[in-house]
Amino acid sequence: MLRDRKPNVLAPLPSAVDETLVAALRAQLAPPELSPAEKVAFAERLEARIGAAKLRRSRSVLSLGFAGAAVAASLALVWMRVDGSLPRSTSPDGRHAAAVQASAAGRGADLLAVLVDAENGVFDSALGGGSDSGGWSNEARAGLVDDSALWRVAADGGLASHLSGEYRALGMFVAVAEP
Amino acid sequence: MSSMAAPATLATATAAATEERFRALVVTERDRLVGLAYHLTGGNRELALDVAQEALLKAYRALPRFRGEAELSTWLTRIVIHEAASHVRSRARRDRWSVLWPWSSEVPPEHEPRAAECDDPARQLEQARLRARISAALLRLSDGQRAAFALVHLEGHTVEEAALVVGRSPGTLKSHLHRALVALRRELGDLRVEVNHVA
Repeated sequence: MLRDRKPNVLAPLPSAVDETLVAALRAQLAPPELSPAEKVAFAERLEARIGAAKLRRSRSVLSLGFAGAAVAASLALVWMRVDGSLPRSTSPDGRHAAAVQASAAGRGADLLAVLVDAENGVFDSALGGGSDSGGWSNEARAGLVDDSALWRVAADGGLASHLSGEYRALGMFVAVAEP
Repeated sequence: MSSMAAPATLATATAAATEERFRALVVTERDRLVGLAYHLTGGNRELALDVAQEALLKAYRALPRFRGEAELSTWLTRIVIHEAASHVRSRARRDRWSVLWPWSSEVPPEHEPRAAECDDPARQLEQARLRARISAALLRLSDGQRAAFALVHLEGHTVEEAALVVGRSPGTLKSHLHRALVALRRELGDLRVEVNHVA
């Protein structure tokens, strides 16, 4: 539609000076013709950028899936805590926790969890299980770590037993991590 | 055997068709888009190639969502115009900072003499300076004025076509054109003499 049109059909130039000016600009701004080598280089660069864009997209999808799974697990576990009951494998939430744990154990992975304490507004956790969880927890209480602080939780039942503690969890983020 | 393809198969087929469509688009539209970008960047070859690349990449990403409300060429033209405006603004910001470095070249690299232009170094330099003047004048126009001028007076579209591309009324586009011409006449009014001289 936009090609092969005669110029200025609806926009007559107001003066001969303008006509000359526009003609001069057209002459000076004749678009460059790409050489065959430039065309190849252009196409190759575009392909490379498209490839990189695809890679970024697939990584984003993976990240999104991972985050989505983490949020779903978090919601289920937070609800368990609000309910006040222990997350046993007989309850719906217990089944979910057990499934997450089984999955983590099956993959030889740990569960990573963060609790947010509703009263103090700081991270709090004693979910335990991991040998270094106490140290991380202390750091969190001292305000030395931020949202990125994660408490390692062993997948062999430690998470479920600690959920019976005194925590008023505002939010809990659970993810499965490679060991 | 069912006549209905599985959703996954259909999605794969659609994705493949989109890829195919995009590659055909690059071949048919590349030169036109580079040329338009060249006009919109005031005759900067390297910048024009970058703009065309970026525009095609954006088109690739957006192609699955392209709803066909405009013609494909119009849609692509619009992307190039937006991309060129963005690059020009970015370049202008950079140039404002470069004022702090007064030892920078008097003639920007993109306006250096073209090797095949002529053999006379003096004339080459004169041509390069002329292009630099034209470029500076074009880049001083507003985005809307520059797009209108390039589409109508350099690319040869009618006012109504150009208005459709930029998503403005023909009246607004004519107003942009008028202001662009006034500004260019003011800055390049002597160009007729120079062009006659160097031609």
